[in-house]
Amino acid sequence: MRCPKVRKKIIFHFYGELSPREEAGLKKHLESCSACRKNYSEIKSIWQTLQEISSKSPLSDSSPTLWEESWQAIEMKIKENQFLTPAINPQREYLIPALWSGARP
Amino acid sequence: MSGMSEENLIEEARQGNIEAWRLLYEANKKKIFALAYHLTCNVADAEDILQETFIKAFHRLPSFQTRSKTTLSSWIYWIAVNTAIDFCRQKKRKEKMNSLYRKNFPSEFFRDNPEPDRDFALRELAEKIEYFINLLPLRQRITFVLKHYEQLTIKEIANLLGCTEGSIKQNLFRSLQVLRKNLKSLLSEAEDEVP
Repeated sequence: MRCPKVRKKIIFHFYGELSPREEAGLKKHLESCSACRKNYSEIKSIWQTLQEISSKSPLSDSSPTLWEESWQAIEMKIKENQFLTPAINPQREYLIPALWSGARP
Repeated sequence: MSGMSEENLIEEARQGNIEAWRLLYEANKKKIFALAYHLTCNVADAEDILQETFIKAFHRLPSFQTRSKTTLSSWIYWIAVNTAIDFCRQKKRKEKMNSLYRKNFPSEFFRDNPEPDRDFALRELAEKIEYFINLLPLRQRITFVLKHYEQLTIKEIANLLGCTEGSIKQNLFRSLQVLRKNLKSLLSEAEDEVP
């Protein structure tokens, strides 16, 4: 495996997206290439920081009223829409053309 | 109504029963909010996406196939991803038009939710990382968030976004390269501050 290819593999190694064969190839290359080993430890350090940051859940910090307020907004919009576009009433659908044709001379 | 199966709740909601839809909202809201927050790094925007997703999903319920392999939860998730993409595009357009000099780190989240117990340096670092994630081009940011925060596989992301696995890999690699470049200096600065 060549160095540019290894650079990509390192990232996918942390994401657990390498096949066992690719993992073995990566390991073998790292044992013999100091530049890629340096690259590996840099990515590892960034990866660990990202993992730490991503474990911070926005849910624990969110306002307790968020869910209720959001639901109220959803409910209001849905009801508004239901009011503007009422369910089709087949009787009314037939009535309108009938009235229209009746009104014509 | 709370004892009803998901299938029955969907059917009730299809008939216009808003209480049934509320129960389905309760079951899915946290997952959708977390996704929206990670994509926007902003609580107010995440709330907007959450609301829009559940309004859209309610109106599209007639097209949801209860007996298909897709669960309601992944169907809503798919709507949320697309809603978030549209939201980010619109926001970018508005920001381009409205403000040219908004270069401060987004800090409203931490300001509104102070956590005295947490290490300040780590929070500051998190804020800066979120800032850099937010700077990624939209495709890269979405791919990064779906992979890193939502922990989907490359295949799942490709299916969700309708792209090839190769393009997802490419976006993921590029996003990590950009983040790495931006974070490298930050991490060396923070090494002494963050335990």
